[in-house]
Amino acid sequence: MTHNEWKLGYLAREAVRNVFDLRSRMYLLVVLQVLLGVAVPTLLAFETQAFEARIASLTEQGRNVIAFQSSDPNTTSLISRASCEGLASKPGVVAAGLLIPAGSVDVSAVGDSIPLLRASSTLIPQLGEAAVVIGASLTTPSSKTQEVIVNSNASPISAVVGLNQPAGIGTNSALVIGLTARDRWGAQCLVRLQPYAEATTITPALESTLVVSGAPISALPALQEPDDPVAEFLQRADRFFPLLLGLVGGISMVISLRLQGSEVAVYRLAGTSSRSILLLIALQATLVSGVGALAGAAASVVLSAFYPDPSVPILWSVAMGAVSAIAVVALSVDLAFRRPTDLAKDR
Amino acid sequence: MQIEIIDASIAYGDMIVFEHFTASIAAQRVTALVGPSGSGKSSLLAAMAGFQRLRAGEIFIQLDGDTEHSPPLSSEVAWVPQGSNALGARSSIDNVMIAGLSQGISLGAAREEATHALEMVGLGSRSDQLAKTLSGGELQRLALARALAAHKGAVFADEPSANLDEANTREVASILRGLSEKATIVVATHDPFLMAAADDVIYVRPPA
Repeated sequence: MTHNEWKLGYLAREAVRNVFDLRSRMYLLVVLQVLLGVAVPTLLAFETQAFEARIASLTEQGRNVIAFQSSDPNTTSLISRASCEGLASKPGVVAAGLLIPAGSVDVSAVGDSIPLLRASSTLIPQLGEAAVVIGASLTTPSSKTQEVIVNSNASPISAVVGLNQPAGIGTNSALVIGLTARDRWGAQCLVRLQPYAEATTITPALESTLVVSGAPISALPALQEPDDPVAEFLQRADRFFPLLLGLVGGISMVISLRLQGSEVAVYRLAGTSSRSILLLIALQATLVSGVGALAGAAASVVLSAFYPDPSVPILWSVAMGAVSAIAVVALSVDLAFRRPTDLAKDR
Repeated sequence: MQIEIIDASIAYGDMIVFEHFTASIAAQRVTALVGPSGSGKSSLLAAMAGFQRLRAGEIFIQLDGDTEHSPPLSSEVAWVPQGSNALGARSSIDNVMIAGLSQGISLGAAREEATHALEMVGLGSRSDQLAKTLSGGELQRLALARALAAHKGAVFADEPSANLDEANTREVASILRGLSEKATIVVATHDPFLMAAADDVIYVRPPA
């Protein structure tokens, strides 16, 4: 009838009662784990927000904007419109197209001698909405669409206020109109990469697909960045902070278990084997740490709007819980094998 | 369960606690291991329970059916520790049930055994009370109930009257005497009440 060992189900019941009983000292550890669990996604949200703000600022300054043009300023290269606009559909590319200067014009309600540019609609998608895109710096954002009269004797034509473009595109202080059918080649092909795309990897592949006539071309980034902020973010040392929190939670539980060595002795002296004690400690550690991981996952869901990928804080929360549970078991093994009569003397 | 101790020595490092100690402990009786503090009676009790190794000598445990073990198996012994060891945040019955559960019996059976054991030690009405709210004497009786519920062939009690008043000590002695019908009882003590309650008294000699 008997096996001289706890049945696993009863041992799990024992662990649940030891951990979740409000009168148990372990309940405080559960509360600590919840706090640590919530701290992980909160911290990641702050870090991610700071990182995104940095990327947004760099993007405005021209990060990931590439200009393909002649590598020699004294010679001309022509890039085919089709191959340049074709880049817009490549992975990692937000927009791409030709941008051709077309003099300057006087525009009613905007100003005189405004630079005029012809651009691919794959570079300035708002050209699909109106004949003219007014540079974001030329008018107030409140007047979203309007008609403009280009030169005093012309008819009104539809216009839309352009989105603010990053440095390197150069349309914020200009009027932009679409390319004509004759614009089949251009001297400059501009490409906007996705904010987190790795420009150094993507650029050569894009360049190789361009059809060029004349001198060889090169890729000129609008913003020279001494360090890659994405790589910096991904490799930052404090990304392991959740693991450190897991260790803190685990060590807190180890200290608590050691302060309750006499309770371990109660189990051992009542006939519980070292193996069952180790299993009981592991179950309790899993429950306590699991609550922390669960709290972290729940907080991650609540804060999901603050992350590009909400699964990341959930995984870190789970990793925190795992480190906590492993630390408890690893640092408490001796409790299961110590002489119970010695443990009984611990207070 | 009968116990034979033959030429036993216990030492901690270079410090010899006792040596060349031989004794025989009869089954189904209460035996008091007596000696002053530091004489090694608790160490001998731990060695008899298989919790501690001898420096020299042997201890034989004779189980029912002529099975003999040397060194002893801790799984054959119920141990009543000195002081008030208990799971403080759990009820009295939970504290006693772990004896049965640790042997793989069902929850219902463990509860039944524990209820019976608590009644035997006079704690039947306290079964749902938290252990940390029990008095020192009640905690000692709780430990005895746990030993009783373990259904082992031997119950070893290490100074069970430590920190107890006379009334509680007499009660513990009475319970131990009652237990001897079911198990061999060995008590490490220097308490005169417990010595008087024992069937046999064995003196553990300090080193010369």
